[in-house]
Amino acid sequence: MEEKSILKLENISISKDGKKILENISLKIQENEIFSILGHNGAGKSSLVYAIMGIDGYHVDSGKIYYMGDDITNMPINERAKRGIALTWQEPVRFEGVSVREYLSASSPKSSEEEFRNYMESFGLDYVSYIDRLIDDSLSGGERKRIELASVFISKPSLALLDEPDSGIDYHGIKEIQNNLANLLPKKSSIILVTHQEEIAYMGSRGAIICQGRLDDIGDIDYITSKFKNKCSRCQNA
Amino acid sequence: MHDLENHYEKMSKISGVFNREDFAYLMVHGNEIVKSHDLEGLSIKCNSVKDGVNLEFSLLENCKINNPVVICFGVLPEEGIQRINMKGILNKGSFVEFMAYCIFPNGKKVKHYMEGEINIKENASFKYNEIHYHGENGGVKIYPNMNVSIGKNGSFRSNFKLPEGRSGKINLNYYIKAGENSRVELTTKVMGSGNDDINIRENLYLEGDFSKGTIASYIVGKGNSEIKVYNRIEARGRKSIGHIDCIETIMDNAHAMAIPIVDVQNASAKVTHEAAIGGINKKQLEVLMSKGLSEDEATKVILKGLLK
Repeated sequence: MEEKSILKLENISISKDGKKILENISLKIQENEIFSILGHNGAGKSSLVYAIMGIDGYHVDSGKIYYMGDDITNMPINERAKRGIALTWQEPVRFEGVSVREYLSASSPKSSEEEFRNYMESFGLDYVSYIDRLIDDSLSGGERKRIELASVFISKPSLALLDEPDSGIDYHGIKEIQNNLANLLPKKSSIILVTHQEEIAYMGSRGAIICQGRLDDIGDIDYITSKFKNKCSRCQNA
Repeated sequence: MHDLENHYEKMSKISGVFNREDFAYLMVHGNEIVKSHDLEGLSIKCNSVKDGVNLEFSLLENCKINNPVVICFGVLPEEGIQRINMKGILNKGSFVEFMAYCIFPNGKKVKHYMEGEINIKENASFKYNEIHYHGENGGVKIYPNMNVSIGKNGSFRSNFKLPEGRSGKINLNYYIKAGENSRVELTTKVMGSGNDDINIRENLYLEGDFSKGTIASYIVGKGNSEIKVYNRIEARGRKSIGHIDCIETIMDNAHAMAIPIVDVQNASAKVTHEAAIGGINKKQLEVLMSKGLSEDEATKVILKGLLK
């Protein structure tokens, strides 16, 4: 089991503006696994994936992050990306004057136009209509989310961190993405899926509940979603 | 081929335009008219004078020119002066787009003056793109002045760009008078670095009823550059609408100021403005770095986008 883990979090704690936002989180994510993290708004789910990605302001106070056996706790964000960790942001940022092609190229400089087309279409974006569009306020939040997902998957990450991939996307779009997800990643790649919706969490085989910055429980997905649906044991929120 | 044409092709990434029969064009090096070609319905008259040229163009009524008119002004030596006096008339219902390239790649002591007077008649449309390259010496000073009047239902769209290299000194003054139900879009995208001194003054007078116009400035300042943007919209016409947008991104020791002036003289008119000055957007930087780009690479992508 130990050899197969792609990510290991060892008692990580994070503070922001003097307040603890994550406390003593320990987790192991296996190769070729979709792992769902469930939690209510403000529970610390996004903070956890930001810490794994190495986003400024989310560096760990204590504890260690191991990726493929290496300690990456103090590694810069772009170095983590180069090693195969990728993050889709919950609210994709607008980029004045940057086209979809340039954005995808930033993620995957060696990808061909054919690959751009394939990944865009996997996320419901028509290549001809979108490839030269600018990622500015002319695109809706849902369109930018699909571009964000395409940009992460085209980089063929070993570990994709998907922060609320369903936000801004309609039900049919989510189903379409769900159906494609498994085929889009290289073998042995893993996904950490952050959500507060049980039906999205079911894309994973295992999961965890985060509540008030702590790991409430971990287990197979039926157990975790069922527990989340009823009552979180820490805060008693239904 | 004149060396200015080589520079133009390198900058525009378009070749062969200055030999094509279906394009109108003009190339002026200093005060030398290198090439000129007009088209049916579009007359371009250019005379060489001391230090520059007098240029007059006119477009016949309802004449629509499909291909952009390509203009190339430049001074290739390290020192020189170029004065362009341009007068243009677009008669009723006509349309034309100009792509004007202003190239001073070696300038250490180069001055370029432009005095433009454009009359856009009823239902006529004029798109004017001016793209500058001033090299890396910082010794180019440019003074583009433009007076434009737009008739009923007419439109004017201007794009002034200096996306790469040093700016040197820029003193841009535009005065635009918009008639009834006319449309105006003024966009400026400039990069400053070293000790560049950039002054942008765009003045839009929405005189006609139902006239609409926007002024947008996107400026990037690096090094010790000084940037001042004074944009003014006066709304006099009934139900005229205007908007000023200014985004200035600064790095190093650059200093940027945005001074929007909104002057509304009719109770049914409305003018709004937004201005944002600050460093590189941190979130954008992190998003690009999370894709594997270094901080410098991510910064380049953001700035290139801003000035595209």
